[in-house]
Amino acid sequence: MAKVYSIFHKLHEITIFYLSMGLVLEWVYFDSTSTLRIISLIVCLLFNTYYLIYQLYVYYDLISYPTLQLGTEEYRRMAIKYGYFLRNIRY
Amino acid sequence: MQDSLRWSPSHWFRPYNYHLLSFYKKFLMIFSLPLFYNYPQSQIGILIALQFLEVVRFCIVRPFATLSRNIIRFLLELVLLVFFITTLLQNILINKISQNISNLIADQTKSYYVVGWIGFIAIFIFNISFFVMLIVDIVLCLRKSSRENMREIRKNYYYDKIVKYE
Repeated sequence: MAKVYSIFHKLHEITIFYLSMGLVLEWVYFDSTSTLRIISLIVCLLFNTYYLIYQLYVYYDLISYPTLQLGTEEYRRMAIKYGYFLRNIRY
Repeated sequence: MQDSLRWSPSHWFRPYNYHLLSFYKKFLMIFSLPLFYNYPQSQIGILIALQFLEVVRFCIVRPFATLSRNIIRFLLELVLLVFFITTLLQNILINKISQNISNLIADQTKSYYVVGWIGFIAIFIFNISFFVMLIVDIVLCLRKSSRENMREIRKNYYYDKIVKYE
């Protein structure tokens, strides 16, 4: 399960960059007469809003991390879910 | 609720939040591009300011458990800052060259060329280093699980505390 989460976070990392850049390009070259451009802008906005909410969720979920004790159920959940972020990070 | 579980601004400077807050830095950087599209120098100025704040944050947080990783990532943050500075310098130089009012045009053209090369090398170092680090991380992941790594880091933290206390 930890591997699945690692791939999930990595996928986020890669797509965040490209979809954010996509939003920039849509913003710069936006044309209100083109349906394709409007759909593309909406898709980019939806994805970027999702990324913002997702990162905020992880941020608040990790607040309790330093207080967790080794071996507890909550620690195990954090290690599986956020091991990707925490594996090289100073305690 | 325990005090440590309540949100406070100090959470911005905790190591475990390093990657998450980097996302918000990238987000602000990307949004500043279209917002200041008509003001190229302000656009680059904002990127420099954000990257400078990131370097300061890095120095305060020292996010990684190993010294080597901290040094490498710190140097990469500086390389990105150098790239933004060279872009700003290029913008200033191209404005001066296009105005064509100075008798220093040959020097300015040469400076533009040199600064361009520095920026080009900086961005290549930045991108290639991240790619190399990705491969190194994948190899390390195969040798030791994240949970083992986290446990070891925590063990080292408490060991250092005991040594300091003694």
